[in-house]
Amino acid sequence: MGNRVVIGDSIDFNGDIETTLSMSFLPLDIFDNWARAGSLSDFIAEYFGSYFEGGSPHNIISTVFNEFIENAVKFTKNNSQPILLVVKKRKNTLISRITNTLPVHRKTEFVRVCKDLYNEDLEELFLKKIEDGVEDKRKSGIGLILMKKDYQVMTNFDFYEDSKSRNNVAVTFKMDLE
Amino acid sequence: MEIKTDKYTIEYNKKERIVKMEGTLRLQGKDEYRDIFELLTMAANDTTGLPLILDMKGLIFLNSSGISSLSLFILKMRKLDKDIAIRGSESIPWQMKSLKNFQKLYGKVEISFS
Repeated sequence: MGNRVVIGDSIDFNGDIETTLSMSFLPLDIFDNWARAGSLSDFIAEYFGSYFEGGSPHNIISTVFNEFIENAVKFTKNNSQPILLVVKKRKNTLISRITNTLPVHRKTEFVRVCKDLYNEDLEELFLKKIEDGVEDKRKSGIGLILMKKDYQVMTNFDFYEDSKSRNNVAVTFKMDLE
Repeated sequence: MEIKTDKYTIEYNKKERIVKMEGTLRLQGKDEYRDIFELLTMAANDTTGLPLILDMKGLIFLNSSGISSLSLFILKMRKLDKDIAIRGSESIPWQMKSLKNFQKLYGKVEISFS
């Protein structure tokens, strides 16, 4: 159970929770039809949106969840291993944790991406990633940057081995909704 | 010229110099945005003197791969030293939060909301 790496903001995942929604889904289904990531996000936005007043919460909730769901699917190791998604509501915030397996060779890459979110200026990092994309038209990697700099989403990344020695990452995020 | 699916429509009106984007654009990666990128490039090549207009008022969602692909198009406009005007909707939160990124990539990008 070694090699645990935790990066990011401190987020209370359990205190004063008013309601919870849990689900699991197969990455395979998203790869089969990418629009399903959006369908899941729209569902979560529909489910929780009515708790919040004003400011078009549906569009914001769906946009944020879509980015984190797409990210989890892209970084997953086994397309047949379920991704777990938990959403909790506390006052004017939604807190979510998405847990997926992670291939060993991509852990280093993902850890670096996460560290950059906290060590770099996000505006400069965004511009750099886009300029780099001129050379490498396949890579993007701006989703998490946009979540932090445009949506002020708090994030926490917990890389750990489970009891079956599989690499996992639990991404917890918190968004404030007026 | 038009790219139309059940999720989104991209429509290019050469006479008006407008590319209108509507619906939900959440494609898997930048590769999947290639057709849209090529349509935009064609529109840019057609347009001289006056700005090319990107009308996004009906674009409800755009994922980060889409923002990344459009950003590359903005950089292409910068390289060609062409003017571009983006029309957004103030009632669509992602636009209010993220359209400004295009302006940071290229100072000649004009953004207006209605």
